[in-house]
Amino acid sequence: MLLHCPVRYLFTAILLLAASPASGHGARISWEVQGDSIRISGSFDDGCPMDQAQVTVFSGAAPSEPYITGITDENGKFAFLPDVEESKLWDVQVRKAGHGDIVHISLADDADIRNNHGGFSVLQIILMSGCVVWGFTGTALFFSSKRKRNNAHT
Amino acid sequence: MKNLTTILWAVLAFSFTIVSCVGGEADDQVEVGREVMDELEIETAGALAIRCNGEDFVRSGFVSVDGWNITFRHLYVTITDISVYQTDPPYDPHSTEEISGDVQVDLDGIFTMDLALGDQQAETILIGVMDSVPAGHYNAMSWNMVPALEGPSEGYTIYIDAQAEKGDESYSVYLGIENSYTYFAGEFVGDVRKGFVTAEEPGELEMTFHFDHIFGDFHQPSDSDLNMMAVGFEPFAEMMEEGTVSENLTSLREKLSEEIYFKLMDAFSTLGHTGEGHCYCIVR
Repeated sequence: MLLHCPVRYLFTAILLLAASPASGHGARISWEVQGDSIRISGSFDDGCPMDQAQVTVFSGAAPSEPYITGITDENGKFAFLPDVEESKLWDVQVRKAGHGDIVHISLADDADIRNNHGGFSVLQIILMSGCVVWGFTGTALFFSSKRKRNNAHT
Repeated sequence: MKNLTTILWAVLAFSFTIVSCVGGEADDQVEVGREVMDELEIETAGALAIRCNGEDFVRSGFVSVDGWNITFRHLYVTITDISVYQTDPPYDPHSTEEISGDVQVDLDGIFTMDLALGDQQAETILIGVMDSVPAGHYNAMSWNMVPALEGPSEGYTIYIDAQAEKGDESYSVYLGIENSYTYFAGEFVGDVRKGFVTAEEPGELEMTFHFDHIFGDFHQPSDSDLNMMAVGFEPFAEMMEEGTVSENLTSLREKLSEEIYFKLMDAFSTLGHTGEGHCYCIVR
């Protein structure tokens, strides 16, 4: 099941592969971000896929209410498009026959970098840019005046 | 020219100072934000109930992987040192580490619970309610299972009083387990998401015990993960004396083969869950 995603740029720049082992004696859930979507893969400990397993996706904005529900395919896979404007945190639960697990997916790191420009405010960036430009200009003026002075001496 | 250079250095130093000051202001805002959040959490305390559940396997009985129909008269577990946590990032029981939570609340007491009480429609068993815990999502829990100090399961952490039947054979079964276990659970995994506490809505957490891990489940494929880890009931039936199987860990160690004994010990360490979410277990 794929949902519309209003913010595509978050995922399209990179292919973030974040396989995350998430279980013990019962279920194993891994996930990866592919383009705009998050792809879930469930399997039992013996390696068999969790086919037709119940999937419940929770958004960090309303973590106690299911955002979407669905069923894995015959290979134990399920995909959805998170609304990253709603939340950067997504929790996905996969269950079948008394086995289950939940994975916690944080997209916040990417978002912070992109939205907060590496943690500097706009004022800081303007001031730093000004300093760099002023530094180059000043250096150029310094050597330029020195050359003129040397020429004057000769 | 010397004056121009001096002015340039002065402007650069001034700019550097301003950038540094702006950065410091941002850090201060983060600290203030945390203090405000702490006050809010304290003001919005709510209640959190702790429940335990032996599932229908225990309440209604089930058929073991090797075809024994097992019904439980009583199944006692003794639980203590219950702690609930808010962890960020969420605790992962597969990390095989103990829980380190931002918020931790303890439920004092030693509780011996009979998981066999009730039928299929029975509610899970209430252990206790913590009346005023900070609001938030309790996404981890730990507890100890220790030998009971008194009562019908005295001396045993887990005590099974059951009837096992197959064909025309019928045995009374009394199994006592003396080992202590510490379970570290992540978030509850089940039909609904649990552990959310607000001032308006009390929360709930559940420790769930999967006894099908010990005896297996006839209705699952024999080569399924569950049945491969279970010992079934046949090894216990072989110990029958005068229609009764009455054993504890000491006698099981003597009577079971090494392979079956350690398989059984492994299975007991996987009993504790929260819903279907599994735990990291330390056997003591």
